[in-house]
Amino acid sequence: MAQKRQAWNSRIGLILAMAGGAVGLGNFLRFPIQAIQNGGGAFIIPYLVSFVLLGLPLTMIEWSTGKLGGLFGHHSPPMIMQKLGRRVHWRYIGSIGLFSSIIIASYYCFIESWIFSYMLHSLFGTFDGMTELQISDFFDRYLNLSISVSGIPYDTFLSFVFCLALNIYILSKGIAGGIERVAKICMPLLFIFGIFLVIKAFTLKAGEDGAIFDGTVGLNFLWTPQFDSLANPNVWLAAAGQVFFTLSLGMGAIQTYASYLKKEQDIALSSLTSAFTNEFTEVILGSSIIIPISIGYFGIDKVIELTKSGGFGLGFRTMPYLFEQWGTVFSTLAGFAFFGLLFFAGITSTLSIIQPTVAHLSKSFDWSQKKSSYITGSFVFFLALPCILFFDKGVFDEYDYWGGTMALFLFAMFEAIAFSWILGVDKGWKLITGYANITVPRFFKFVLKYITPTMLILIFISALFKPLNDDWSLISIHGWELDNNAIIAKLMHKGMDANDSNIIYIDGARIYLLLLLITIWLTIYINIRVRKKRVQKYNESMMS
Amino acid sequence: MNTLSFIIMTVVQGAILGITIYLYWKVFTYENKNNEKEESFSDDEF
Repeated sequence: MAQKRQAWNSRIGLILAMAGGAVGLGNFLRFPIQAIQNGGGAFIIPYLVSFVLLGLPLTMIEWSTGKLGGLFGHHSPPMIMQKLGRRVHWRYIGSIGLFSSIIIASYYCFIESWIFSYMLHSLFGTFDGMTELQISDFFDRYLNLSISVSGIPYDTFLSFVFCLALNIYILSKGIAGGIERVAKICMPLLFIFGIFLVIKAFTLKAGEDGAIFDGTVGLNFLWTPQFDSLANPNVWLAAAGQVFFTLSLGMGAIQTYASYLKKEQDIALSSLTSAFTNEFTEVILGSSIIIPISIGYFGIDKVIELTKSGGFGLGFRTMPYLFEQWGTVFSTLAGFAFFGLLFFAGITSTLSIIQPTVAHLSKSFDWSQKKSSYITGSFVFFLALPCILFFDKGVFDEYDYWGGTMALFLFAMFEAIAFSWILGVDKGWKLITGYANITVPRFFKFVLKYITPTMLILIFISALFKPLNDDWSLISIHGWELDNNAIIAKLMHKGMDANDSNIIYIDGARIYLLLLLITIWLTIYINIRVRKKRVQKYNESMMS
Repeated sequence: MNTLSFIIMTVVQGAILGITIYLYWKVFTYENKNNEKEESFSDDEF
């Protein structure tokens, strides 16, 4: 039975859902850490350049190609890519978008469940009276499935099941009734919680509530420019990576959401608004919460040390302790607001990441949105299991590397090539500027044709053959030693001891991911065969 | 907070905030208007 075409109820709902998809943990936990590690105030220069040359063009590509696909009844990355590339093999290339989105969904949903638990623990005062060490230890105990931190057996696992079920329930309600409604509630709440914490961070005074520095000391540290960092290519790569992740590019999420647009709906103004909403959240709110507060209590040296383990350490091991210094009422409010805003950022992102698979199954097998949502939920559940059970065995990192990093860049690269060089930038430009409510500078047409695809190809090649310690002076015609994180080195387990007990888990995770890719290809193959047969039957009936 | 850091922070955050507000203003201006433009592209082109 053919499904009724879904659509967005309002433009503001669409923008908030798109922005919600982009605004995620990276805005609050990754951006400030990246800025500190890559030149402070000077980092913003490569960051903004990447935003204009990579982020905005790719956002426009995903919006316009999604809309194009939707006009022809296609709502999932494989079908949209085939429409763009005009050959059936592009449908298999489009499977990379599905592959990355469902893998990210599996571990992102797990992280969302940590945040949900921390939100409740903050509300119920679990952290009251705990020392800094006890709170840090709480995080390790929480991730250990055999230990219950709340007294409820398997609470970590139950929290994950609850979050996944919540996501699937919302998705089963459809685009307007589920995703759009949730975005309209979650996004304003996220801003309110964020602004409350920014005000607290800005007004933090040395000597009050145990703080040793003013909140402005952290802001000063974050925004002090180290201009010499601009000559370092790694800083530019880090900025490009941050822009890429923060806008949720390369996973088919934006494409799928945009495919529910009507022909006469604008995409130029809506896409710019959603991208700038993300920048507001990242550069204004994200940079003004954890760094000023943590430096206010610990000082710069200790925070630099803490940021070496990434944003999660600072967010989960440190922030609950710092909020505790604000007294019972404010610590509860601040803890709830902090983890609440992360939860709202997380849930709106997870919905956008799961919907491409829901749309793919729905279209491929003529299933309802509800049925596709439940089946996708089961997929995500089984995909997440190894990640949860063998979290500390390197499985999480494998998922993140192949699904959450490499597949994203690969898919975005193909998208840019298909849009600019196969469909043609002239037609693509018509899609972007057609029915537009704002004038898009023509300079972007040149960027779309030459700069963005070239940048993505270069980033991908550099990821394949990255030299040791990112030292590009090592490159030589006689060969060079690869960095442990280069794709080829990663495949060969470079840097790992041959007797490392984690290798078996890592290889197991890779086989699991490969099986997932084969399953996606199988669904595409079945879909092609079924449609061919239908056309054949229709033609035969017309002939007779 | 030193002057240079303050200027960079204010200019960058101010610009992003300003552009975001401008874009939302445009969105709400158009929100309830029907798009009365002629057809911008035809499906046949694709």
